[in-house]
Amino acid sequence: MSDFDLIVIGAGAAGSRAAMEATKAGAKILLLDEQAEAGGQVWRAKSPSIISAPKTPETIAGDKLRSDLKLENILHIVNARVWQIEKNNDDLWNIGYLNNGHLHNVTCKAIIAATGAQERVIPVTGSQLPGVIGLAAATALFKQHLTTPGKQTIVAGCGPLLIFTAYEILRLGGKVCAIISLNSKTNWAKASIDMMTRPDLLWRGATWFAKITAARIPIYWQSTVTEIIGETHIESVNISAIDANWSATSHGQKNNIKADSLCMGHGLNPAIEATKLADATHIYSPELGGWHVKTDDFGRTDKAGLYAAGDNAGIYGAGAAPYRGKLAAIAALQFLNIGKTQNTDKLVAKMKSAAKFGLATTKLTILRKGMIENTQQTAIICRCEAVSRQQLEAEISSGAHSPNAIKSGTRCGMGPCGGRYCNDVAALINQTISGKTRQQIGLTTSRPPIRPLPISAIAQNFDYDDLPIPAPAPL
Amino acid sequence: MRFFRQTGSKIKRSQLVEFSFNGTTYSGHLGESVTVALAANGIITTRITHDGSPRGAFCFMGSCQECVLLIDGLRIEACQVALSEGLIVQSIGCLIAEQKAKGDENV
Ligand SMILES: Cc1cc2nc3c(=O)[nH]c(=O)nc-3n(C[C@H](O)[C@@H](O)[C@H](O)COP(=O)(O)OP(=O)(O)OC[C@H]3O[C@@H](n4cnc5c(N)ncnc54)[C@H](O)[C@@H]3O)c2cc1C
Ligand code: FES
Repeated sequence: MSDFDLIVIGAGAAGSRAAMEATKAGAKILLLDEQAEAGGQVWRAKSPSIISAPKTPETIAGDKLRSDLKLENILHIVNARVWQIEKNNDDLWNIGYLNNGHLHNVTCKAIIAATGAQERVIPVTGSQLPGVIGLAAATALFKQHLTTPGKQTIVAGCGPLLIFTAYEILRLGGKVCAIISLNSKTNWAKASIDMMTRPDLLWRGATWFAKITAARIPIYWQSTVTEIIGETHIESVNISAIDANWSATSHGQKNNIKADSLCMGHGLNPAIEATKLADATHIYSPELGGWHVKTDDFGRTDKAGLYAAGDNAGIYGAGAAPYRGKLAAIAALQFLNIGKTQNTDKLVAKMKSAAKFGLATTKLTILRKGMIENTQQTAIICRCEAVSRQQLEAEISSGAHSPNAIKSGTRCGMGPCGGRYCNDVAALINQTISGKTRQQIGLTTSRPPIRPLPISAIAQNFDYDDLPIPAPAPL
Repeated sequence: MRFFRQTGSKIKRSQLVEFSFNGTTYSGHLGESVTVALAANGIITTRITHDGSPRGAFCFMGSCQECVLLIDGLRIEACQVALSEGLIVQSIGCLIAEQKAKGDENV
């Protein structure tokens, strides 16, 4: 007997929708999420410190999702970090999670992993300094706290979050000193054609640009941050024009801009720790954010009873995520033999149509070949263990070409974040030396825990007297 | 340098409460994350790496581990902890220095 029919990991746009669909059909489900409230990244809830604030499209959609979850009476455990996923002897999935300092184990017949994405930031010298935060990270800070990271903020990187972040700072009343955009105006014009599928969102984007233009914020198109200067925190930023490959050309125009904060990001990577640990097959496709779990339209992975929905199965974006959640729930219900079969053609078509917008935005963030050339030898690649590009290159040049070999040789990716911020960059550097493709380089081996666990939770409360010490052998 | 809690006319925040960081008392809004409470007070360095370089909050979603502090005795990401009255917050480095000062050789 399993504790649940289905466990959904992640209460974002995809996971919440999956949980509701499965509950409606009569499945016994559990929804786990490590955040304090449902909503995931795009519909992140405001912190309890905000009593009231102007509504935004994100807060409206998020509040609706949270109230729908309550209406459906879904068993949703918040602050629950899934750290372990494995098959037990009864062929059931065993899920371990940490909740308020305690470890719990639950079993289920099927899993939907809807773990979303995480930010990719390609480091340069100084990007580890306090005051430098991710671009997507900044949106989380705004949504949750209506707080800006400084008095004079530079916003840098690519894709829609760049413009959204600059707009949000202005909306909240902060100051943006400059926008440094890898994308050119032409890139944006081309992307907007693909974005025609969602005229409402395209219009919203246009209003962001309008606000930025009205505030006379300088935009440096086809430019990148090449170095961040500061002793104890960021003081200024060096920028340079880039070539068509996104490499800061030596003849390109250079500038130094003073700022006390920088929001910098270069797209999203699917969050694959959970599906990797469950041993599903993953594939690499730059147009979907890099390594992601391989699924069909219904989120079926190649592991029986394991489904994936949302950005962890490719960055199709927030619009497609609820459809992907619903489709994964339908497939999981079929596997569980719960409910009746339904015609899904329309739903698949809707998902594909919604995905077009997401794919167009993801396309703006596909890293070009020259991007990694902007990362200096002194740049810190692994933040946790403070490993520089120079150290990585020395290790790779000495023959360490697999991610596991690089990890054990340099400690890059061995820190508490689990390599979530450095593995991708380490592989890009590896490519420049080994000449291998990302597929040939592959991924590091996945081992539990996929989230850091406090020793106290593992050890639990014990008395030394309680330790089972076997009687000494007779002399 | 510090973070700014924006105060647009329609934004209403919870009451202020006091907490301590490395022995000094500060105030912040009840329920905001400890990271924001500290950064709004000008404390943006959350840890010092083994090679002496300062780090601050980076991801604001509990993943990067740069903001891990000792909060009421628990080693935890400050961006994931809601501020409450009387919270005792310490940086890991400060704790090590304290233990060394007490003569603990094992730190
Ligand atoms: C920081 C950040 C900000 C973003 N902001 C925007 C935005 O403003 N607009 C936009 O269109 N897109 C944004 N995105 C893109 C985002 O991926 C959306 O497309 C959308 O949120 C995807 O929905 P999802 O359900 O797939 O994932 P998410 O909404 O990310 O939901 C995934 C959920 O899974 C949970 N989770 C993950 N791993 C575990 C685990 N091991 N244990 C327990 N819970 C876990 C997370 O806490 C999260 O709530 C952002 C992405 C990031 C990383
Ligand atoms: S800022 Fe990354 S874990 Fe808190």
